[in-house]
Amino acid sequence: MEILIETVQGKVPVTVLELHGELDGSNFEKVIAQAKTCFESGNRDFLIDMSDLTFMSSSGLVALHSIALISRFEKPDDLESGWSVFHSLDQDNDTGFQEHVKLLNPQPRIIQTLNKTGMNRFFEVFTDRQAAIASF
Amino acid sequence: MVQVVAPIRLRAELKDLKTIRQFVSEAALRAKVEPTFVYDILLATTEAVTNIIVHGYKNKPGWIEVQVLREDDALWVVLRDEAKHFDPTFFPSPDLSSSLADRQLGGMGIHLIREHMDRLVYRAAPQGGNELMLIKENVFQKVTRES
Repeated sequence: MEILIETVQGKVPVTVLELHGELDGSNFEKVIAQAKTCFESGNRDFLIDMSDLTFMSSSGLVALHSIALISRFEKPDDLESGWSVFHSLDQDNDTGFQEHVKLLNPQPRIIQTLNKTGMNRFFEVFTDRQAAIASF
Repeated sequence: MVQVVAPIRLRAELKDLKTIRQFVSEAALRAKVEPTFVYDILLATTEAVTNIIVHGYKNKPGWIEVQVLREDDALWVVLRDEAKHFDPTFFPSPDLSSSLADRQLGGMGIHLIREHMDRLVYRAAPQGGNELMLIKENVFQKVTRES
């Protein structure tokens, strides 16, 4: 899987992480590492462009969760904790969607995975890149 | 039970997940599984193999055999490994009506397997290791005959 990174200026700078290919247990940590590097460079808002992501397993959900925590200045949980990794997203989240991590154009089967695990409650999904960037 | 293609056996690591998906995908299409069902089968296979590697083999390379079979209207993906006995069918499904803060620990992958496959059958191999069968029913293209 290839990860392309671009910072786009909207109301605030937005880091667009473009994922190309298949996201699974073999590469999800790379996505987290890239987001962490961007965050440590001062980037605070992330748009995960999934337009060209053709497959995502539950490891991808862990990556999304970890990026959400990183964006909130929190340490990602132990990556093997399964459902428990989502507890921290849910416990203090009154508004639902994560403020600093949003998704662009996930394919229908990936949307299905988000829905089947309840992750759709935490990540706002956009179909228009400009609208997504303007939403931060 | 009909074997669709010869099984593969490899000392699998997480980097082999895509190879295993390609094998299962090609086998499914060769068996004439409706393309719309292939993603379900690949996702379930990926989740199961990931669990074998991460939890069964503790992220060290270990032997995994992947076999694709057809029985009547069902496609079976059979995974065999040499890890400690573990029966994933005992893992409870999460209560999706509860908040995530209240959910039981563990089992995202198993949850997705159950959501995308029709049956999950486990057998502890007597000589050690596990055999896990992921079964999806009514997946084959219907043959239409022109009069």
